[in-house]
Amino acid sequence: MSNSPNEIDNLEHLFSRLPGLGPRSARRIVLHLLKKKDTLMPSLASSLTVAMKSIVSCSLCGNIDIINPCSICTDIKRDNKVICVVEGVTDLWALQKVSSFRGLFHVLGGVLSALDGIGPADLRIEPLIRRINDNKISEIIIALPVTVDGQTTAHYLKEEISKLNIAVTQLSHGVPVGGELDYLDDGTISAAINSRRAF
Amino acid sequence: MNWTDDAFVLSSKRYGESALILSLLTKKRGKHSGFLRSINKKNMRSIIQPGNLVRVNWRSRIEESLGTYNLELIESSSSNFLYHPINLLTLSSICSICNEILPEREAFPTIYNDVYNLFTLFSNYKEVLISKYIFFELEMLSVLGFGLDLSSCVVTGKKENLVWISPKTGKAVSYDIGVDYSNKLLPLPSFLIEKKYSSDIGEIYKGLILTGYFLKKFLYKELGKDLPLNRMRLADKIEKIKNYDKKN
Repeated sequence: MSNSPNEIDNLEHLFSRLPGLGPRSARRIVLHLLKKKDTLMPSLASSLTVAMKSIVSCSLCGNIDIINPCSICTDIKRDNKVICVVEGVTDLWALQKVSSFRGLFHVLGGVLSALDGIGPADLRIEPLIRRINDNKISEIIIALPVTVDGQTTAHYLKEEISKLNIAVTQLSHGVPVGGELDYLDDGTISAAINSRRAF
Repeated sequence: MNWTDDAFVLSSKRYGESALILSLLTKKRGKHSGFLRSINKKNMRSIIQPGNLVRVNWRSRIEESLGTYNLELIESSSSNFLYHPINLLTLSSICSICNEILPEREAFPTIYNDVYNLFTLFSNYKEVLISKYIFFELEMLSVLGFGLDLSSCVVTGKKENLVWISPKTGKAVSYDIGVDYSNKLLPLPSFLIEKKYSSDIGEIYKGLILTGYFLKKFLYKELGKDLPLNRMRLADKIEKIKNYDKKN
């Protein structure tokens, strides 16, 4: 490593800080880029520059996009009376892939956590309340993780939103598609039994 | 070093991308922390939810080091609590209090038993969960050397008509003695004296205020902290229900 020029060291160091990459995989990426110096490197560099300049966080929902408000918030084909509340942008993308939901989103930016000292003021709850009031929203769908922290946040949100007299629903919990009962944990099975429905 | 024990998950803190430092309440060794690898393995995230009962195997080269855990789920107790806000706040409060104030690697069998009863025999105590939780907080104060004396009046020694507790000493005060100072004393709920579980919301609220006051005074103040956020929200929630019941 010490024999490599500083620029290569620097690149390796930067890549090794990315999620899922260590120093060895960072070195492999750098070597691969250097091999394709003329084809891959310029396009990667320009893409990074463009992304850095143009990608912004949506001031309404917290999604990331190249326009503000984002393409989801400005899509007139979507049902703008229903908002689905998610923890992060990755959850938003997961739900966006499913064409069955055609409403709007709201990214909270985390969940309440006593251990990490994350309180309601640290999350985007105030903007959500403002959105509900300003846009006469009819339903809020809570799609937060089924963990102790996730559900604590869900109950907190329900309490806050219920004051505004609108419907609050939550994603159901239970057996996943393709799941076999004998492989499921007790918690999931009891959640599935509790949320059973007429067939 | 290598041992196996039953334990409740108290909390976890991410360490890198695929590992975390887990805090457990073990049966024989009290609160214990260790390193857990491969948390991205299937089902591992559901196993490490606070309140779950696990069988833990700990390995380390030397006793003093953090060591590495291997976990196997015994009971997914947390799932019983997830769907009701008060139950969930109770679970979080228990985990936070054990995690924040119990000393590391010192066994407290009565605390473990209380937590075991609260988490795994949840259905038996569903109706009286919070009063059972208040007894847990009293036990916590007691095992750490700050037990409250609810047996007799601190001034007269009488065992009847105990309705207050002195915020200075943590000892009970009878009605005759305390009536002139009632605004300076803390109300003592009757179920604590009778050692019976209660579902009376007014009495439960008094109990939460009482134990919360002494937890803060004797333990959290020393640590330079406030009561856990969820413990404060639990008391707020019970107060709201109490006030709502009063109105209707």
